[in-house]
Amino acid sequence: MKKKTLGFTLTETLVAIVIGMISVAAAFSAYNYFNKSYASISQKSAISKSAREALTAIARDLRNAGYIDPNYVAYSPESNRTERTVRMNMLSVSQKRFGGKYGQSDYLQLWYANSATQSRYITYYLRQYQGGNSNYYLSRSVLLNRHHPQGGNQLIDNELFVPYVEDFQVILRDKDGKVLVPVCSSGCGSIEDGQGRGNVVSTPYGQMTSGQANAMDVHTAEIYLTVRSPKEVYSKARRTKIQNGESPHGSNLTIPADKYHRETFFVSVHTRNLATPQVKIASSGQSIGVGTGYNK
Amino acid sequence: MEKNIKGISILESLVCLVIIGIGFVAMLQLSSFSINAMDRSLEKNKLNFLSEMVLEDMIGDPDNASNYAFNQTNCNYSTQGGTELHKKNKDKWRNKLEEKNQIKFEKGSGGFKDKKPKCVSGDSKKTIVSGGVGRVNFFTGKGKRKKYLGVIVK
Amino acid sequence: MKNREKGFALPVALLLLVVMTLMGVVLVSISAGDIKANSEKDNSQQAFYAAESGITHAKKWMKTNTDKLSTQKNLNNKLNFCKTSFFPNLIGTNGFYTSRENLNTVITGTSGDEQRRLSKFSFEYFIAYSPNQDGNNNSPKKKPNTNKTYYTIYSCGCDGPKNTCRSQNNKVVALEAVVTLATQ
Repeated sequence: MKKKTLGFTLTETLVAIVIGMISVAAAFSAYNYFNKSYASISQKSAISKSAREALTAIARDLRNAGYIDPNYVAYSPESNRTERTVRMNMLSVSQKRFGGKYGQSDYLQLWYANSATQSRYITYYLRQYQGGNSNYYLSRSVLLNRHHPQGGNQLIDNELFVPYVEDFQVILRDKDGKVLVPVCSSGCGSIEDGQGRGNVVSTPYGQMTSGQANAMDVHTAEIYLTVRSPKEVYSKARRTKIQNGESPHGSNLTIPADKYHRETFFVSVHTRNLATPQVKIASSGQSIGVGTGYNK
Repeated sequence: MEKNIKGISILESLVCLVIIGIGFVAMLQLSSFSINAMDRSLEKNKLNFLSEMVLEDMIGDPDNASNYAFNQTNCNYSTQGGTELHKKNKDKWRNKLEEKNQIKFEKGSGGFKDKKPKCVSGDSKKTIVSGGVGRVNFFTGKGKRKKYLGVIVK
Repeated sequence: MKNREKGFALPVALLLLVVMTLMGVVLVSISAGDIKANSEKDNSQQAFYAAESGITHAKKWMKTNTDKLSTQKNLNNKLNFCKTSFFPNLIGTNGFYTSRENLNTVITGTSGDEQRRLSKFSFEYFIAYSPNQDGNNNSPKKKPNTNKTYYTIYSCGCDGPKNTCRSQNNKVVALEAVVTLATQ
């Protein structure tokens, strides 16, 4: 009897080929599925992380806005040292100025003096990526001692804070929950001008423009942040509609069909150093008066 | 002896197929689990900031703290209107918890569908105010994921 | 002896198994990372509101103890974690009063999971004269053009219970609040 030590039978070969093809197909489709899942999950994770960090920082800055250290007016090295001038620039929102990709985003500036000798001026707005990229990111800048005679100290200069931001909205409300406009003291645009920003009003600290004085009545600040995934995620292109805030103070966008993933994050904070809550004055008045808070 | 050689190779191939199949299924399961987990995690991220919104509104209106009790056990949030600050705030909560009118996707022929956070029965969004203290109790994921946050308001 | 001409197939299949499992594990770890970051944000939120609760607690004490707001003493030995290193505007630890509480004792009416969670957070604060620009707070300062003394509440929230919280190991949120008394 001859032993077959070399070569394969026909059956063996056929079975081997079939099994080989199945394995390759399985491996290929597994890799494909993994690729799509990885794109989706890693893009969403990036969105989640940057939005979380951004909203945490913006909320903390808004809570501090308007805090004036008790020794600041007397001892600051800056040249703006009167009660009136420091209160003129505590919070400023300019609508649709540096409006981002869709022209509807806002420009936010806030200020506080955290010690006798230091103040912080913080700016948030959408800036375009360089080099032909038509997308925008949320930039954050921190300027110390803005009114120092030798110029302030630019601690952070247009840091890329959140990548690929589609929309950034800031809506301010007074103690009755009504939208408060104009609250703008610098970088203001035509919308604020049309709202009478420049009208001179009297305040307990002296005369200011309406846009400056209104900052002291801001009770709540609402922030909307719509972020896009850096790379495409979906297999089928579809249009997206984004509505942040209420007309005419917010945004209303229809984005042409594409495969990106978008999320909108929202937070609102009580601006503790601007309009303080109404304190019921009992007739025998043992209530705590002025209170302001600051956190690092 | 010839039969043995044939037998081993086919058996081996089948075993390999099974092993690859196990790997394939494992990867599919882990993938679909993490896709779902990532979506839930994004919603939890947003919910953390919404619970901050709730506490901030209470802190900003301490003399009316008792009016900030809130209880939503179905997934249907309808606003109730009103001019007082606490009524406006609670309507804001209802809209934001449902992510109402924020992002809409095109679905089918030109119609747009709201993107909403997942809400199933057993979920609830509650605030409890008593004795000058405000608490947030947000339960999602059939009530298994619990978010608690508390502060002395007054 | 059995001839295994196709002996390479089995190791390859095992290798593919390992590779595919690893791919799945990578995806799980990315989503797990986000879940963990959410949980940390959870904790830092509650620590912040613990510090805010300390401020409110301090204000309530001040309202009913205005007579005790005249002599300061050194509070250094009484402070567990709310140390002056958190407050660069202040030198020393002179103050009128200090207190520390776990959140579950000041936030009453909770039970089960909620109570357990609140018991893991605490605040500690001290009340003092607001300092001068050089950091000294030995004597009171008044708000300009008024008779109102400036007091500062230095409050810290911690993601650990009041007796075991240490700034090296725990996350501590530090807040300063400047208050005046309406009765002055």
